[in-house]
Amino acid sequence: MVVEIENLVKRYGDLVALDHFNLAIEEGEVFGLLGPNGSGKSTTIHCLLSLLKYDKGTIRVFGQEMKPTSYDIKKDIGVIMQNVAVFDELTVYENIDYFCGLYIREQKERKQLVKEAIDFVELQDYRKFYPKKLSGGLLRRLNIACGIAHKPRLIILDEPTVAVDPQSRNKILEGIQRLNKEGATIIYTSHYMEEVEQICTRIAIMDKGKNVALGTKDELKAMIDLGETISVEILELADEVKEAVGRLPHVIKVSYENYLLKVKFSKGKHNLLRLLDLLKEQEVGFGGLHSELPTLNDVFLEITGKELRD
Amino acid sequence: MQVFKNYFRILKSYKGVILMYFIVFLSVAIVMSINNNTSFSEGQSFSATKLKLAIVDRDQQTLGRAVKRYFEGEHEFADVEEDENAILNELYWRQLDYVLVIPKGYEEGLLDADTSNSELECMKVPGNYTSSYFEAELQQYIAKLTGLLASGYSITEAEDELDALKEETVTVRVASFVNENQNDIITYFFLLVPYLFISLGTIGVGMILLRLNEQEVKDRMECSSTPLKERNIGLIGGIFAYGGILLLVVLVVVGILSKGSVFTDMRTPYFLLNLFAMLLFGLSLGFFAGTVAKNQEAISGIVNIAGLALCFLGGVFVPIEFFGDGILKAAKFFPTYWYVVTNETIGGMTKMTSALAKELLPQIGVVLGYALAISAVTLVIISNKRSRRG
Ligand SMILES: Nc1ncnc2c1ncn2[C@@H]1O[C@H](COP(=O)(O)OP(=O)(O)OP(=O)(O)O)[C@@H](O)[C@H]1O
Ligand SMILES: [Mg+2]
Repeated sequence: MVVEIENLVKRYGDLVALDHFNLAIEEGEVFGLLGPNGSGKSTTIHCLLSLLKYDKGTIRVFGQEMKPTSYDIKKDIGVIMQNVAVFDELTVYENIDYFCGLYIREQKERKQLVKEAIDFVELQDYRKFYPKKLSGGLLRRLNIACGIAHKPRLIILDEPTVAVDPQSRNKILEGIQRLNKEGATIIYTSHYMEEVEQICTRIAIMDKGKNVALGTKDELKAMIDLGETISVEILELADEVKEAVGRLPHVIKVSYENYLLKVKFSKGKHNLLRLLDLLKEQEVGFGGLHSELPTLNDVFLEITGKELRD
Repeated sequence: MQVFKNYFRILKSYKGVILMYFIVFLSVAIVMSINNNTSFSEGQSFSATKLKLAIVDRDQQTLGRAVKRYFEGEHEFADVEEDENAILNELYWRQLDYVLVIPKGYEEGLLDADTSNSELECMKVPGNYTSSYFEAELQQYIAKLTGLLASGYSITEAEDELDALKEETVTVRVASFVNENQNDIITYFFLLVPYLFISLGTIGVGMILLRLNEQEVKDRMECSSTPLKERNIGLIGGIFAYGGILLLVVLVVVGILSKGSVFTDMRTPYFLLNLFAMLLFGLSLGFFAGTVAKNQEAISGIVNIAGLALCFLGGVFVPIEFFGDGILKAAKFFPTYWYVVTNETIGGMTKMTSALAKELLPQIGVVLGYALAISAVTLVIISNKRSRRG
C-alpha cells in the first residue's frame, strides 16, 4: 500500500473540511480524487504531506506513519501543488535545478535529472525564460517539472491543469500516464471529470470532506441505475410519437427541443433497437443519431443530488 | 547548500536596486567627506581659536605645571576630575576639546632615555584642526625639552628656558596635519555607513525572505527531503555572506579614500567592531521586514522610512551638536545615535585605554542589543505564524 488514510478529520474552525475521510492507494495506480470546488481535495493533499495538522485520523505513506520530519518518505514523493510554486527571480532551468536540489545533492546526477525533466515537459526552448514570461500552460509545465525532476515513486498532482489551454492539457495528461508507465504511483485531483475518466485507473469521488464513492470508472457508473442517453435529429415530431417513446421500457425521460429528440434510459438491453423500431413503425424520418453513456457527472448527480461543476 | 546558492540567485535579480543605492550613497559620502575635509583647512582660522584644554597629571611632577604655564596664553585650561567617563562626556559635549594625560613616571622617563617607555596620552574631539596644531606644538616642546635635558639642564631649568624662548616662532610640521586629515576621512566615511547598512540590509535580506515566505514556496520546500534545520542554516549562511560582502565593499572604498591608511590605522579594529554591530542591525531589520511585509512595496517603505528616520534622528546626516534637547532625548532611542557616538569616540582616540574600552563596548552593545531584540521579535512572529497554521 502506498498511501493509507484512515478516519481523517480536519476542521478549520467550525468548518469540517474532512469528515472521517478514508483512502487506500496501491502501488502503480493512477488514482483520481474527483470533487467539486471546496470538497476538500487540497486539504487532503496538505494533510497527506504533513503540511497541515489534523484533528483525528492516521496517515501512512509507503507503510510508515507520515510526520513533518519524515524526510525518508518525503524524498520519494513528488509534489505539484494547485498554486504554482516557483521563484519569479529564477529562470526555468534554475527553478527546476533548485527544487531538484532539495532532493538530489550530487551535482552531476542533478544536471542530468534537470535535463530529463525539461525534456519531459518540453520546455527546451524556454530554459532561460523567467516564469513571468511564460504562458499559463507553460508555467504549469514548469511547476510539474519542478515536482518530478528527482524521479519520485509517488507523484501528487493537485489540479495541475487549471487555467491551461487544451494543447498543454493534453501534454500534461499524456505525461502523467508516461510517468505512471515508468513506475510512479500517481494521485491526481481534479474537478474535471473528463480528465479523471481519461487517465485514472481508480477514482474516489469527494463531497463535503467525505469519500462518497470509490472504484474504477466503470464500477462507479455501474453503481447507478442509468443507461445511455440517445439523441436523434428529427425535423418534425408528433406529440403521439413522443408519448409512444415515453412508453418504451426503461425510458426515464423524453425531451424534444431544437429538432432534437433526447431519450434517457435506465440500464437495460435493446434500448436503442426498440427506439429505432418505434420510429420506423411510425414512419418518422431522422438524421444524425448519437448515443451517450452515463458520465461521472451523472454518478455524482445521482449520489449527491448536485452537479459536479457549479 | 542549495538554499544558500539560491539566496544569491534571487539576490542577483535585485542587483539593479542594490547598485543604485550604493552609487547614490557613495556619491553623497564622497562629496560630503571631501567637503568636510576641506572646510577644516579653509574655514577655520586655527590660530585664533582657543582650545579648551585640561591636563590629567598622574605623574605629579613639574612638567604638568610647566606645560600649563607655557600654553596658558593661547588656550584655556580647565580643571578636570580623574574620571575618564566624565572626561569623555565633557569631550562629547564640547566642554573640553583636548585632554592631555601625563602618565606616571613620564618625567623620569624623559630624564633617563634608556628607561623611557611611557608616552603622553590624550583624549580629544575628533577632527579638530586646532587640536592637531596644539599637538604639534606640544611635540616640539617635548623635543626641545629632551634636547635641553640631554645637554645637561635640570628639568626646572629646561622648563624655564623654554618659557623664555617662547617668543620665538614655532614652526609647524605640516606632514602631521595631512595625516590627520586623512584620518578624518575615515571617521567621516564610517559615520555615513549606517545608511548603507540599513537600506541594503533591509533590501538584500527582506526581498529574499519575502520570496521564501510565500506560502506556496514554503509549502513546496516543506514537502522536500531537505530538513528545515538545513534549510535555515543555508538561509542564515546566505544572510551573513551577503553582510560580509557589504562590509568588504565598505572597507575597499575607505581603503581607496584614505589611500590605504585605514589598514594601518590603530583605530581600525574598533571602527570595525562598531561597523559590525551596525551591519548586524541592518541585517536584522531586513529579517524583520522580510517577515512582516506582504509585498515588495512594503519593504521599500520600511527601507525609506526606517533608513531616513534612523539616519537623520540618530545623527548620521545631521551632526548631533545641532540637536535640541527634545530631539536629543529621542535620539538616544536610536541605535544609529549610539553608533555615531561610538564612531566619534573612536575617531578621536589616539590610544586605546581600558577606560575607553569600558566606554565603547557598552555603546556597541546597545547597537547589538537592538539587532538581537529585532531578531528575537521576528522569531516570535515566525513561530506564531507557524502555530496558527493548522
Ligand atoms: N486555510 C483555510 N482556512 C479556512 N478554511 C479553509 C482553508 N483552506 C480551505 N478551507 C475550506 O475548506 C474546504 C475545503 O477546501 P479545499 O481547498 O480542500 O477544497 P478543494 O477540493 O481543493 O477545492 P478546489 O477545487 O477549489 O481547489 C473549503 O470549504 C474551503 O473553503
Ligand atoms: Mg484545491
